[in-house]
Amino acid sequence: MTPTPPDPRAGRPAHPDPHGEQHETAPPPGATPRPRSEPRSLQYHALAGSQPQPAGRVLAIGAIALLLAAVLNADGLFELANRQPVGWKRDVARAAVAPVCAIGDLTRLKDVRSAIRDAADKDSQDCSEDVESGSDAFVAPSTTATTTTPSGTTAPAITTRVPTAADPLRMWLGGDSMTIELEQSAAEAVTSRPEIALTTHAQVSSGLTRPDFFDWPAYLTEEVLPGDPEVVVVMFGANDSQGMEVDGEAVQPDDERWQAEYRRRVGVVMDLLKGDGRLVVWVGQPRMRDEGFDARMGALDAIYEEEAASRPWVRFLDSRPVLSPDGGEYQATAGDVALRQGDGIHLDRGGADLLADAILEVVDEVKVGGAPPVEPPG
Amino acid sequence: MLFPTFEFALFFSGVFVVSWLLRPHPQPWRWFLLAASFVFYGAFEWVYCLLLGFSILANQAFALAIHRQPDEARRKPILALAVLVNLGVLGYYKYTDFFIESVTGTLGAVGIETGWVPLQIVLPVAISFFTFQALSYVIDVFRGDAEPSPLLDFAVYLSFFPHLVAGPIVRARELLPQLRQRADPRKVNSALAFRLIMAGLFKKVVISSFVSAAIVDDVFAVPGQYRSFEILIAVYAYAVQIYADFSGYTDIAIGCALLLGLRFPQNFDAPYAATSMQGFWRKWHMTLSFWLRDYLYIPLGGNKGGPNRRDLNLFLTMLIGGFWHGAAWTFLVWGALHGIALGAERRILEARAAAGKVPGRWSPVIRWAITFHVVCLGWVFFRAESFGHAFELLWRLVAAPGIGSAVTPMLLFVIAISIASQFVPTDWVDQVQAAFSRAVPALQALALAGGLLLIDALGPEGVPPFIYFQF
Repeated sequence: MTPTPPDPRAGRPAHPDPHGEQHETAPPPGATPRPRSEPRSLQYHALAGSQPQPAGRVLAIGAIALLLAAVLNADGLFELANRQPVGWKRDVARAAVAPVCAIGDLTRLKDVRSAIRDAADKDSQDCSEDVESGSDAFVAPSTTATTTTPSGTTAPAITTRVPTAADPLRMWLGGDSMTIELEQSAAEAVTSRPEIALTTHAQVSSGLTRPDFFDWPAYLTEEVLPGDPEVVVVMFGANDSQGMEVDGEAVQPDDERWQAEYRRRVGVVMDLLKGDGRLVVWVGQPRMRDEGFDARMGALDAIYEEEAASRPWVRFLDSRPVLSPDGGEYQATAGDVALRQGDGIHLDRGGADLLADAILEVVDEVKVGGAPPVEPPG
Repeated sequence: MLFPTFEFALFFSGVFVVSWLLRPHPQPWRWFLLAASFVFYGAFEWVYCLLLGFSILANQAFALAIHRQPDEARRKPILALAVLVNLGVLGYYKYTDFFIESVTGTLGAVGIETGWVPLQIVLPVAISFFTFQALSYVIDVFRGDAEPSPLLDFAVYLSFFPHLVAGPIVRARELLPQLRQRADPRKVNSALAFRLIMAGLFKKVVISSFVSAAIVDDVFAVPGQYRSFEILIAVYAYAVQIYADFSGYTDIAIGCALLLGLRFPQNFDAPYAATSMQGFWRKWHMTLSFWLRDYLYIPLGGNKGGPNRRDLNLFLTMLIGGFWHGAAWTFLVWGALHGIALGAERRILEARAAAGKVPGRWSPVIRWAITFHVVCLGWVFFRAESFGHAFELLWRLVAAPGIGSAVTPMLLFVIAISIASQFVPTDWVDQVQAAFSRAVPALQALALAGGLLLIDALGPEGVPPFIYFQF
């Protein structure tokens, strides 16, 4: 073998990367030079002496692991199945989870998850206890002494007072994911107003049609009313235009039975929130980019407005003019302010700021201003 | 269809079985992978499949045109057109509205009304990633580093579902040869794959969700409500969150590909253990770093042309890299900050070396602390909704002293453990992995089920996506 002349590039740094790293020197003499853009420093995870296995065995391991995990996580799967829209998909999912739940129950394997969740202070549903989503499931909890006021009778007027930083106005705001940005905007708006003490709760994907997913009457009763808020602001509806269980049957929003049941539920929440001079602000849904969705939201808005009109402690706040300031059609921006997010549904911060201001305006006018409550236009 | 979902588990189980059954038959196997990838992508929005199909056909045409053109001078315009088309499509979806808003905002400030309205363009998921991958393919062909592949191979490479949505950015020259090899169905590197998938799920579902809900989202939404200590912890928590989220997702991607017999490059390597900014970028989203080096920094001139030109190239590379992450000024600032930090670091190190200074005993600790905090400073701009928020947050960090009540011991524990995990020697993990691979199948299944139990039990209340109906 004849010695090759020394390669002038040997030992010289190869092309460094943008971060100045010299990864290696040029190839030794005689080696074929690598292409210019060869990824010189790409790393691969080390196999570290692991034994490879046949695909069939990997499949068996994976399948057993998934089945065992399904039994261990039966409660979690059950929650997942229940979250499906009311209809055949949900029925199939629930039927599929039932045997898994039974095995988990029988072997007590599913208790491990509950124990972990308890230790981590997390809620969990028990798959052996069925959850209701029908009319019976949506009632004001009996622990409260709410009295429904038939429309037209003398209802307590909303009491007014001038709050101070020392004795601030107790205000609660919540609803579905439409209120995520809203609660942030409201929180920002009241940073300069120490006389308002705001608490909020946005529950993603929740509403009034699916108490099996999130039970608002129960939540309001257990978590909100004990704090005796003087103002309660709610915004529901964006998730509500979906199938609902009425008398054990899945009915769709275009069905009269659906509308009657939804109207009843709105009433339940409004009556539940009635309190000693408390103001309830019910925020309607804004215009939506999708026409069909917008029409369905409009139908819900009409229900809110009508139900609010017969209850003097409720003010319906129509969010359409607020979030479509240029004339009523769906509006994504106003000038250089983004009102709505890219999905054509959710609020962007600019829109949420406007809506938060509109809410505070109602609060100031009706609750703080000391002005006598104005009868809402009926 | 996102990775940590029930649907994906079912989808992947099916793909795994069929893929190995078809593996001895190269053409049907490729067609199957292509179909599965389009099903996966179409589950987001079927219209996107047209975009991906267009990218496949257009880039294959460009690659073939360049390859068949012997004249160097005529190849360049084709390449320029290819770059223009790829970046044009990406730019339209990603930057049009940003451009409109910026122009109207700037002109509006000086009293000129353009009347332009943002088009509310929805950014198709995955477009940033497959555009970069397609460009790497065409540029490699132009440079003579690779031959064009058959159309089907290229289509499988570009659309392959594990890397489609969020990387790693796999080069054509890494994946295409693997498609041509016959993987042995008796030798699946399952131990590494399971380790990556489990760790990825844990990072993404448990850690990322926990820190974002515990503090990050609230503090970054309304900085004005929090005290300096809460803000400091929120910034650290976001550093943990973005690492857990992103590296977790790519770990799952690498693990899934491995189960199908294909190896992807590593994308993260304990980045928060880095003791220099350049070290950080060799450990963070590595496949993007190397992509930027090979297809942006080197074409800009790389290190040629003196220190000033070098630093300018570095700055531009990081600036463009920042803008690639998202269409907002905050991302540009993030990129610029990294560009400046990398340049400054290089100068300082060169000056110290020239002065003959020797690193002291505490040097690695000091360098680690500086690196980590510069990275965290960058994350503030990366995460903030606007400049206003970013500056308010940084201002309150010094001007609003106090402990506040948002920080819990559990949160501090999770942040500390997450950062400490970056310093765990890989040998330890490798030993566990090797031991796992030698365990009997039943024990392996039990370990995996235990992992899934922990992930599900410690995960967030399963939040389904917002329910849209009859759109």
